[in-house]
Amino acid sequence: MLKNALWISLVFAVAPVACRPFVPAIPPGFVELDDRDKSFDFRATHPDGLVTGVRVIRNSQDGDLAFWTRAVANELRLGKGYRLVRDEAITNHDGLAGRLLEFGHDEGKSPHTYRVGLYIHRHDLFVLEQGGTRELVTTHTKELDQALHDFSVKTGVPRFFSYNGA
Amino acid sequence: MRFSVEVTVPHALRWFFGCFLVLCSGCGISTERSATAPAARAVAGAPAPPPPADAALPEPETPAPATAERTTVATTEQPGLLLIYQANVALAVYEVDKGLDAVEALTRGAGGYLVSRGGNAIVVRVPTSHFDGSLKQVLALGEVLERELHVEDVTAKVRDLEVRLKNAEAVRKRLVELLAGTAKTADALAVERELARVTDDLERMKAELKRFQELVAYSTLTVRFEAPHAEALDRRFKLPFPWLEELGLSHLLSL
Repeated sequence: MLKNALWISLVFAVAPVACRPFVPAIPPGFVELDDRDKSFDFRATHPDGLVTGVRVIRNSQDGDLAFWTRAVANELRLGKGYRLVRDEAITNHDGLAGRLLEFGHDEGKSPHTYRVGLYIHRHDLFVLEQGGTRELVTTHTKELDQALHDFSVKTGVPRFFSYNGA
Repeated sequence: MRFSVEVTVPHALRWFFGCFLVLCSGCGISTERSATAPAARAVAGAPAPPPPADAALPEPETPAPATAERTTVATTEQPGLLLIYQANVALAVYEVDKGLDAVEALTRGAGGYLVSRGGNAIVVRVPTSHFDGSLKQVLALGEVLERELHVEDVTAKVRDLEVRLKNAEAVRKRLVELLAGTAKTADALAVERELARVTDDLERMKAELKRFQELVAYSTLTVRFEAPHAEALDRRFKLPFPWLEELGLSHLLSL
């Protein structure tokens, strides 16, 4: 009986990770967080304060990449006062087309950089976030770009968990 | 057949029409006069002219390029008018230091100088002839959050000061002459005391006049930079996807 309970607990503990519909790429020097913030499906941090995260959004509206790119850019520019400093096409190592938006924003007096990578696969929108001080992001740009490229989508994973509840 | 109609206009009626015509032409003249009246007043230097169209600038939501168009300040020198221009501007920018550097650079470019720079604010003074252009350039540096423009007419104050200065100089000259002709020590001491007082007043008035001249020649521009506030930005439309609102550094970096 106890053995069965342990097995069930183990299954429930690993299920969210195992059922994650993506394989995150953790940049060198980062550790994955056992996140309490459930709005992220994955988050990892660098000891100096650089953070990367992934959200999986159920794209039940079937918005295309152009739609979500525009929506994210508008939200950050007009809603939060971020300045768009880079907007370019990206692809992951499986050839999935995506978009990278890079924003500048002062947190207090310190200039920060916030990057949002977007990929769409079937009915899922993958939102990859990377942020930290501008200096730190500049130093780690290569690793962060690589993490965007190495991000891969799992095919054929049933969706039990959906952040936005759709 | 020929018809002729002879109308006899009574003398009183002719007099009435005559008056009516005179009154009409009189009205025309008075309209013309009222149109030119402000200019005449301005030259006379009596009351301060109406502030430039943008003296009160209450539209922080307007994007920078559009507002820059509207911030033209009538700094064109009007004969006899001595005006002090002062602008306070708050701008939302990314990278405050770059904004401060830009203001400093454009000030030097316009032949102005830096008064103070600290934190996220900078105070500069630019030649009044370059005030318009400098203000436009500053407003183009970021999203305009606040703008204030003050114009003070100091013509009367300066003219009064000049008259008082002239009088004081005349008094001083007479006192010096008087001192030269004074034989009694007590009288000489009294004249010297008065001379010292007048000289003191004279110096003070000269300094004040110089300050006014400097304030008229150079306009003050105070610029404050801030990170953009969401509420200050133009947000007319919001998509119904709550996760969009959670995007941003503050959420990502809070572990």
